[in-house]
Amino acid sequence: MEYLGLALAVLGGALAALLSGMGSARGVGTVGQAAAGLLAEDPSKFTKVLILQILPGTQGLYGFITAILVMVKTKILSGAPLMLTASQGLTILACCLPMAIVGYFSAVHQGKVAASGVSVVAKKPEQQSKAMILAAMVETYAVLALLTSILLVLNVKVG
Amino acid sequence: MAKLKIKKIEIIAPLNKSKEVIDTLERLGTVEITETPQSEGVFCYDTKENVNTIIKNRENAEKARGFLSVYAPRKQDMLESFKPRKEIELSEFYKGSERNDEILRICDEINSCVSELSDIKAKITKTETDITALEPWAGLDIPLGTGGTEKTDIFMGTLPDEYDEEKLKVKLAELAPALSSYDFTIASSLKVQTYLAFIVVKNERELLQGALREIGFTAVSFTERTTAKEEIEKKKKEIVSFEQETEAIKSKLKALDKNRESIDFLIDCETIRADKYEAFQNVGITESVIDIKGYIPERYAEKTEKRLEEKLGCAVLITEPEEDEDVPVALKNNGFVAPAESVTEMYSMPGKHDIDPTPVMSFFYYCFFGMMLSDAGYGLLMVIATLFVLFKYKPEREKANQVKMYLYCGISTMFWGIMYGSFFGDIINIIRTNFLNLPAIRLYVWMDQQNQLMTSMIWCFLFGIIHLFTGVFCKAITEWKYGSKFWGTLEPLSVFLTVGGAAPIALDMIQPGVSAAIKSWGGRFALAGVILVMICGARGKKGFSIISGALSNVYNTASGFLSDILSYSRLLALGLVTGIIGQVINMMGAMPKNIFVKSVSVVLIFILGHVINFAINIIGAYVHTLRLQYVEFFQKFYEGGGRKFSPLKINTKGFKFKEEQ
Repeated sequence: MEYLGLALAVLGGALAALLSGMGSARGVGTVGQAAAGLLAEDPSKFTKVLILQILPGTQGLYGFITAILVMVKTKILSGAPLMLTASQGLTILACCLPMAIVGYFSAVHQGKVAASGVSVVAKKPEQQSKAMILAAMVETYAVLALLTSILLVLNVKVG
Repeated sequence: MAKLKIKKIEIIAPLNKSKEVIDTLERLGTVEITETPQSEGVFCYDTKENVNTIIKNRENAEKARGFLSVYAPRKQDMLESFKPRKEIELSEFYKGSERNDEILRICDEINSCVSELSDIKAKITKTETDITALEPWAGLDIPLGTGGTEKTDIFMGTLPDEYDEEKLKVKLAELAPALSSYDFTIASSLKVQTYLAFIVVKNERELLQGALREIGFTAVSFTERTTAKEEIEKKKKEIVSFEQETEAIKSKLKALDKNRESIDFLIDCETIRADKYEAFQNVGITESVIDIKGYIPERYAEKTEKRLEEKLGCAVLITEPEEDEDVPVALKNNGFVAPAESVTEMYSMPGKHDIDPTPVMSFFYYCFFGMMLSDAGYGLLMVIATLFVLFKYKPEREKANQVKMYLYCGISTMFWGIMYGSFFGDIINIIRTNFLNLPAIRLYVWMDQQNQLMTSMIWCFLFGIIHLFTGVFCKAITEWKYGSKFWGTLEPLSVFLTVGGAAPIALDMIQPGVSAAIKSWGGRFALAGVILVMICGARGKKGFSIISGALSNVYNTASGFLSDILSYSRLLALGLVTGIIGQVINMMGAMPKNIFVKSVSVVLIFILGHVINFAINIIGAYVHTLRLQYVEFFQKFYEGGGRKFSPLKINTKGFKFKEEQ
């Protein structure tokens, strides 16, 4: 059981990367489907819809950063990981939850908004930025969750 | 600066000069023509049909132009569109337009060539399908359409499953023992199907076919009087001739490509004509004069008036617009601010009682963009790329503004990158420690965001407060200019006192250490502010609603500012993201132990990783900067809702007219 603490911490980092990544994959996928429909009609709008498609992808990145911070914190990357107690490990797991959970849901919803944005680009390509802003509104909460997770992970005392 | 003063203009011109007047106005590009109401003796000319014809011509030309770039591709500079338009004289324009009819015919020719090509392509596909259908019959040496002789019948068809001669004979003997005078040839046989031809004496035909039906025979009938082999040869020859035709048409298209410039010119000419006819719809016409009404920015009024009066003998009347008129809005700013006009425009043009927010907003826009991208290396790339475009191509004003926006954002990104110590992540230290055996050095000038999280967050909130206060200050200016000076002073003051007073107290809660004196003064300011906020909340209220208005205003101000300020934490979050991902990329590159493998992996992962990081973060910085302007900043003072000034002007892509003297 001596590795339980470390295992819990790793589980936290993994969840952050995993759930956010899943959410982003779903979000980016939703926009991609909508975008492909438009591209069949008008391939020249590729760059415009590509930008919309990337938007729900950031959550995956945020989750990845959270995971990296956990790795740095637990010194896993250096090859000599810290021996965490179970409660320390559980704390780090908890720190990752905001990013993991909010990351998943915000990415899925941002994907839906961005997918609707594709129809804005279809009808009024010059209004693409407005579609982007609408999608970015959802991302605010992913940014806040990331900030929460970063602040928590970096300030928790371990070792 | 800022919003241009717009005047009303009315132009009365002799009817015989109407074309020249409209042409001149279009080239000047200073007047937005509005509808002249029809009344007795004044009518408007309906030009919809003309416009439609012109637009149809233009669409034909654009279609032809598109085909040319497909069938006669030319190597094109990717940044071609940044080049300025060619300047031409009016006489050159007239000379060029003489060929327009001819070019229009050439466009039709190109379009019909392309539709011919697709016809031929369809024919080739059909012929190929025919060949595929004939191939299984290639083994037959009789003409396909042979029906039989005087006493025999010949028919062809397919059987499911694979048969050889013996198997089929046995099968038929089982099914129809009476059958005696028949023969067959297997043309070809696959695992799933066998192709055969039968010859049978006429009176046994029914018997044979009945037996065949039982094992799933399907008859196939042909009309060709040649063998399948000959037929295939014939079809193959047809395909070759189709391909030759295709090549001929393609080379014809290549030859027509010499007209590409003329087609571009034609498209521009048609645009000019379409715009002109559309504008002409709004012009009032009487028996002897035309009457053009519209708006003109004051700074162009004199020049336009002079030109119209002296050269064309028009009567020009310039007046102040009425108070309740829907006057369009035009912005004019200096080179630093103008690039951000597009940001304002995207939100909404300033309304009647708005100041132009662009001058203030542009500074914050560049600044926040830099804080979020915050990598000196990425900033440097942006600066180099934009300067290259600006100096090599010398784009025209609008395009130059787009580029300049990224230039200023790039400079700001460099600045903040240096402040936070990020140059392609921490590549400097990676190289020092891994390859030069030197100790890592301090990279940041001002603050290490990752290790001074709380401090840098507080700074971000402070930048937020400055941004928001600037917004409130703009509200004060707007009120002074268009509303009440009393409230215009009191409302901003109440916010400054409340938020400014509460800030040190809040700061002390996050990071203790604020001196007691500052805190107690902060408290007093905040209290005074809250009282003012209550007074402002009661503005225009009566009876009981004075109290509810006052209280709700306190709540709105407090919660509104709190959430607005917290929103600026994204300045930290997005800055961190760029930095951390940059470092992770560098770290991954430096993982291998072997020094040779390490240098290769550092270079490869560096290039790939930083390209991705740059692309993702530049989009993030762009949308979140916009959000801070639109949602936090503009909400404080900006109404928008103005209509953009859109003058009749030359909207060409390839050329522009030399300034006329």
